[in-house]
This record gives sequence, C-alpha cells and structure tokens, in this order.
Amino acid sequence: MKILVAERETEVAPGTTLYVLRDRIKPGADVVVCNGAPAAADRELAEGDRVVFIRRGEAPPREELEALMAARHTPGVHERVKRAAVGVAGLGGLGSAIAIALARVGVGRLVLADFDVVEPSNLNRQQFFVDQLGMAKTEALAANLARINPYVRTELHTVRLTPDNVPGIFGGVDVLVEAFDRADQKAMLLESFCGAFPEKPVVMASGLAGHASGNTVRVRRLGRNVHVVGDLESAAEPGRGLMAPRVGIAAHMQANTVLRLLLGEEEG
Amino acid sequence: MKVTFKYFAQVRQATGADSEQLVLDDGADMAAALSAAADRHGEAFKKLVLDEFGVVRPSMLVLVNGVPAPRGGQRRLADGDEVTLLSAVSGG
Repeated sequence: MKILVAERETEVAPGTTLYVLRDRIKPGADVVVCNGAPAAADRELAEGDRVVFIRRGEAPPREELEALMAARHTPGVHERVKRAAVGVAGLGGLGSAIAIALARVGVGRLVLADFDVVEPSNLNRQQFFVDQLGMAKTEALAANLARINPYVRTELHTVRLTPDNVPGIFGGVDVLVEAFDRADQKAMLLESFCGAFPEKPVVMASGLAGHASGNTVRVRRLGRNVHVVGDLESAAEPGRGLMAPRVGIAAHMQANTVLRLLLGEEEG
Repeated sequence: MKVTFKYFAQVRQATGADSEQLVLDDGADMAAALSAAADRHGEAFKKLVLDEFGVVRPSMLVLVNGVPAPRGGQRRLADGDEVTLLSAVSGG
C-alpha cells in the first residue's frame, strides 16, 4: 500500500506499523507525526497515511525539506523558485521579513546587504532577537535564515550601498528588492540598479508607516520593471512610527510580488 | 513637442491631476520639463520636486517611458515621451 513519508510517496507492506517504519526510515526519531498530529502510540498504518519522523534538533536532509516544499508549492513552482537569486537591499523591518518569506518559499540564493547592526529599537518590527543585539544585521539574519532553511545560499554584504557598489553587489540577481528606510536611498537604489540593469525588475516600498488600514497598502506598477508597494504617502515621522503589522503587510506584499515575477506573472 | 506627465501621491496632490500633457520646446531636457511643470503648478509642486537650486530632490523617483531616469536633469526628452513622478517617503 502507498503512504506519504515526509510528503514523498512510499510503498509499505500491509501490517507495517508506525514504529516499525520509524525504525527503518529514521531510527532514533523522537517525534512521530501521523496525519497532522503527534502519534501517542504505535499503530498499524493505513493506505494514504501521511507520516513525518522528526529527530529533535536535527535539520532534515536537503531532499526531505525540498520534497516538503515541493508538495506545498507544487513541484513546478518549487523548481523555478529554487533556481532564482533575489537581492534584498536593507535588512530592517521590510528586508528581514522579506528575506524570511523568500527563504521559506525556497528561493535558492539571497544576496543580502545592510551596513547596520541590530539595535533594541529594531525589535518592535524587525525579524531579530534580543540575543542578537549588536550583531551585524547581515550576520544575524543569515543565522535566522539558516534555522528556517539551511539550504538557502546567502551572500552577505555588510556595507553601505552606494551608486558605485550597487551594480557589483546585485548584478547576479533576478529581482532586486528595495527595503531601505530613507526616501533618498530608495531613489538612489532604483536609479543606480536600473541604470546598470534596466531589464531587471525592482520591487520597492513607499508608504507603510503607522497603523492605517492595511487595505491601503497595494502593489503599483510604476514602470516597465518597477513595482512599488505601499500607500505611497504614509511616511515614518514623529507621531507615525513604523509598526510590525503594517510593515509586515508591505514586506509580504513585496515578497509575493517577487514570487510572482520569478514565476513570470504580471503584477500591479 | 508634447510630453505626458504622470503624477503619483504627493505630486498628484500638488498638481491636482493624475496626468497631463505639456508642450515643451523641441529637444527640451528633464530640467526644462520640470521647470515648465513648476511654472504651471506653483510653489507646492516646486517645493516637493525641486530644491532651492532647481535640482530634482533626492527622494524623487523619475521614470521616462517606464524606465528609471537619472535625476540629473540632462536627459533629453522627445515628442511623445511619458514622464512619471513619485516622491518616495521614508520607512522600511
């Protein structure tokens, strides 16, 4: 009979039990999940069961994690996304959340750039932890990404981005994400990247501060290869701070736009 | 020559229009085009888009025919071109 083990179809003999299969496939697994719930006791497997064996603290092998992602995202999507390289310029509230979303969806290579370190004031919205205070954001985020998907390749640039170094750092990406805080840096990045690579898409953000309705954050296609996420107006300023929910909405809309572009779909 | 301007967000508020067509001298560059727009729309537009020296502000996103253009102002425009203007705002 056929069952699914870590989303991969597996032939097992009738009468096989959960624990027998565990000892054959992953000896020492201390957690057995069957049909979406932890199994409290051994039992005979049935046709179509979905089983996952977990050794706590151990990363699943690459092929197992990929099979899980391919099952969730469909194999066609997974293969295309896995081949892609995406640049993220700025690893604050937007960039850290975008990188995590792209790692979770299985983007093969992430080029991450930020000159800054993790500060206490970042923790209200950025995807870092208290034990990472003082670390370079590039290093801290790479560590967090490795805990999510250890097979995503990351290329780190702990530098301040300038018109001179943008083309060299991001020349190999398929899509560039602008995730800066300062408005003038957003414009600088767009101008310097598109000046060098006018055919490559850029996904920007503008207007995401405060707690106005999330429905006002949307994707607009500003130019042939330029998409902007946000309400275009809500600047970060005294009385209107950057807050996790709305920054997160914008970040995930940027990540979704990247995904759609990688899959050849029109957006905005 | 005729150049179409598309405005977003604050620039749209300053001009009161989503888009408009301006008639410019043949061969006009971006600086001349923005100066003409500023003459038409007054102080609000001028303060938003240009600094005190008439240079495009560093937060302005400027696209010509859907492609980001240098903000230096020297870019020559042609009849039928479309210029897009958006002032990026901080936050990330």
